[in-house]
Amino acid sequence: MKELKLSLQDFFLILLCLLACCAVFVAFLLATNLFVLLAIIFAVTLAIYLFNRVEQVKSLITGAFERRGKFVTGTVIAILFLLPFVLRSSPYWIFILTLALLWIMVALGINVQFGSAGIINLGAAAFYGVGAYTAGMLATRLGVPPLVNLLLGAGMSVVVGSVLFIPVLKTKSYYLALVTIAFVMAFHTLLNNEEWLGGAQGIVNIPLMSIGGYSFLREINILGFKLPSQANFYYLALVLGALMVVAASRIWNSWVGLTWNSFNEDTGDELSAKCMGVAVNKWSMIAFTIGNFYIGLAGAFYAHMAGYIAPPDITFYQSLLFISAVILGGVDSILGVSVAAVLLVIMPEKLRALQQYWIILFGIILVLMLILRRKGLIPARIRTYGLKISRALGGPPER
Amino acid sequence: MDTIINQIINGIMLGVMYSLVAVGFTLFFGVLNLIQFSHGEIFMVGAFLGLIILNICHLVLGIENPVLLLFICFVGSSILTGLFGILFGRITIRPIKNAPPVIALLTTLAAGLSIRYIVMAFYPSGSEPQRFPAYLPDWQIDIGGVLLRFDSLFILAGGLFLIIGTYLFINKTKMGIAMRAVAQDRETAAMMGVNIDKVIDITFVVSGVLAACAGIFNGLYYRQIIFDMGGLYGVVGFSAAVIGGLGNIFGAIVGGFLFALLASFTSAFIPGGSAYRFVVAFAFLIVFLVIMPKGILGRREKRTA
Repeated sequence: MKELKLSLQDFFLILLCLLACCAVFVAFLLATNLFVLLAIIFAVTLAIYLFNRVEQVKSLITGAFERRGKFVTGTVIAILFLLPFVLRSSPYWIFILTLALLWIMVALGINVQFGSAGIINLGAAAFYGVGAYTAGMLATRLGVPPLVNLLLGAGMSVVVGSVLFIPVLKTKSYYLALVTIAFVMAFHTLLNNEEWLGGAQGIVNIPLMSIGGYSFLREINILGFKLPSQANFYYLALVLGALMVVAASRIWNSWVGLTWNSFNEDTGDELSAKCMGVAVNKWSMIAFTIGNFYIGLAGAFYAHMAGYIAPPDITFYQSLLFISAVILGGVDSILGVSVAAVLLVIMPEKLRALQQYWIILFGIILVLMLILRRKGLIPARIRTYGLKISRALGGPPER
Repeated sequence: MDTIINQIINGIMLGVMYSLVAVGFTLFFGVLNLIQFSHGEIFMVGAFLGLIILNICHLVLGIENPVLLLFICFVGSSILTGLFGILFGRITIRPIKNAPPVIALLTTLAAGLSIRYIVMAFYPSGSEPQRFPAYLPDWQIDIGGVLLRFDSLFILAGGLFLIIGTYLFINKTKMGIAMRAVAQDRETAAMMGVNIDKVIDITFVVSGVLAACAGIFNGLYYRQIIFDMGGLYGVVGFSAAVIGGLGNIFGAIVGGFLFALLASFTSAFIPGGSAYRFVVAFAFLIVFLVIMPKGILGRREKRTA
C-alpha cells in the first residue's frame, strides 16, 4: 500500500513538472509582448535557481525522475505529440519547432564528434549543406522521392566527410579547427560560384516532403481537430528525431561512448587509451562518420521542408551556431544539447525585435557561458553502470 | 605577362597585410599558448578607428596636410587599438588563460562575433562598405607596362618598417625578452619575476598595433572597408601563421606571403580563377597541414609528461 502511494506520488510529480514545463514553453512561444517574454524568462530563471537551492524539493523530483525513467519518456513523447494540437492556430511555430527538431539532430551529430570523441568540427554547416544540396539536386533533376533523398543526403554527407578523414586523424585542436573552417569556407565559395549547383541563387523549388502518394501539404484531420499542413513535417521530424535521440543515448551509454571518451582530450587521454588497446583512429573515424550522418540527414530534411537551399545558409557563422548548441547545452550531454538546440532556434525568432543586436547578445551570452559555466546548461551525467547492475542483482540501492 | 606581374604585386601587397595579421596570431600563440581568434576583428576595429580619426581630423579639426593626417591616423589608431586590445584581453582572455584550447578558441570566436556586429550596429550605416579617403598621392611609375602605384610602395615600406620594429622589440628590449621567456615556459618566467599579466597586455598592444596598421593599409589600398572584413582576415591570418609554424614570427611572415601569392597566382593563371582563389588556398592549407602539421618553421614540440 505504501509502495503504491509512493509510486502514485512519483507519477503525479513527474506529470506536474512536465506539464508545467510544457505550459511555460507554449506560453513563451505564443506571447507577443516583450515584457511578458522577459517576465517568463525571469520566472524560469528564478524557478531553476530555487530548484537548485531547496535541497528537499530537488531530491524529491530528481528521485522521481530517476526511478520512473520509462514513464518520463512516455509522458515526454505524449506531450511532444500533442504540441501541434495546442499550437494549431499558429502554423509558424509548428514550422519553427520542426526546425528545432532538425537542429537537435545536427547538435547530436556534433555532440558525437566533438562532445564524445573530441573531434572539433567547425564545418558542420558544410555537411548540412551537402545533405541539403544532395537532396535538392536529386529531387529537382532526377525526381528521386524525398524519403529516399533523406538517406542519400545523409550518405553523401558521410562520403564527403571521408575526404576529411586524413586531416581529422592527423591534426588536433587548433589545427583541426582550422581545417574544418577552411573546409566550410571553401565549400561556401564553391557553392556560390558553381552554376550547375545553382550558384548564388541556390536550388529553388525543391519538391516538398511526401511519402508514397501522401503530400505533406495536406491538412490533418484527427478527431475533429484540424491541424495545419506544417504538422506533417513536425510529426515526421519528431519520429526521426526521437529515433536519433534514442540511438545517440544508447550509443552514449554503451561501451562505444566510453571508448570515445577514453581518448577525448577533455575526459580522457589519447596516449593512455592507445596503451589500453583502444583503436583511436578507427573510433575517431566512426565518430566523425556518425556525426556527419546525423548532420546530413537534418540538411536533407531541411531541403524538403523549406523547398530551397542557398549558399547563405552554409557559412562558417552557421557552423558556429551549430557547435554553440553543444557548448551551451553541455558537452557530451544529450539532454543538454537538445535543449540548447531548441533554445537556439526559438530565441532569435522570439527576439526578432532586437534584429542585429541579437547576434551581439548571442556572442556575449556564449562568452559568459564559456567563462562562468563551462559545463553548460545541463552538464553530462556520470554513467551509472554500477548502479544499474547492482539494482538488477537486487542489491541495495547506492544512494 | 603584365597582368601576371601586376598580380604578383597585388599578391605582395596582400602578403604584407596577411603577414601583419599573422604575426599577431603567432605572438598570441607564443605568449598565451592559445589562438586568439578574434584577432581579425581587432584588425577591423583598427581600420575603423583609423577612418574615424581621419574623418575627425579632416572634417572637424580641418587639418589638410595629408602627411600629417596619415601620421595622426596611424599613431592614433595604433594607440587606441592597443588599448582596445588590452581591454579585450582582460575581459575575455584572462579568465580562460588556463582553459583547454577548444574553449579558448570558441570564446574568442564568440567575442569576435559580438565585436563585429557592435561595429555594424553602432557605426553610422555600418552594414555598408565605408569609403576610405585616399590621402596617398596618385602617381605611379610605369616600368615596361607594369604599373607601380605609390600606395603599393608605401604599404611595402610601412610593412617592412613594422616587421623590423617588431623584430627589434621582441629581441632587443627587456619587455620583448620577457615575452619570449613567457613563451618558452610560463611558470619559470613567473618565478623569475616576469609579470605575466603585463606581458599579456603588451602582447595585445603589439599585435593590436600591427593589426591596426594592416587595417589602415587595407583601407588605403582598396579605398573601402566593411564591418565583416575581419572574418576572412582572421582565418587567413591564422592559416598563414599555421603554415609558417605557430609561434615563429618569420614563419608567420613567410606564411602570409605564401598564402597571398597562392591566391594571386590562382587568379592570374587559372581562367576564371579569381572566384576560386581562396578555395585553392584553403585546399592547399588542408593538404599542407596533413603533410607538415607543425608548419614550415614550427617549433618542435617538447614531449612533456
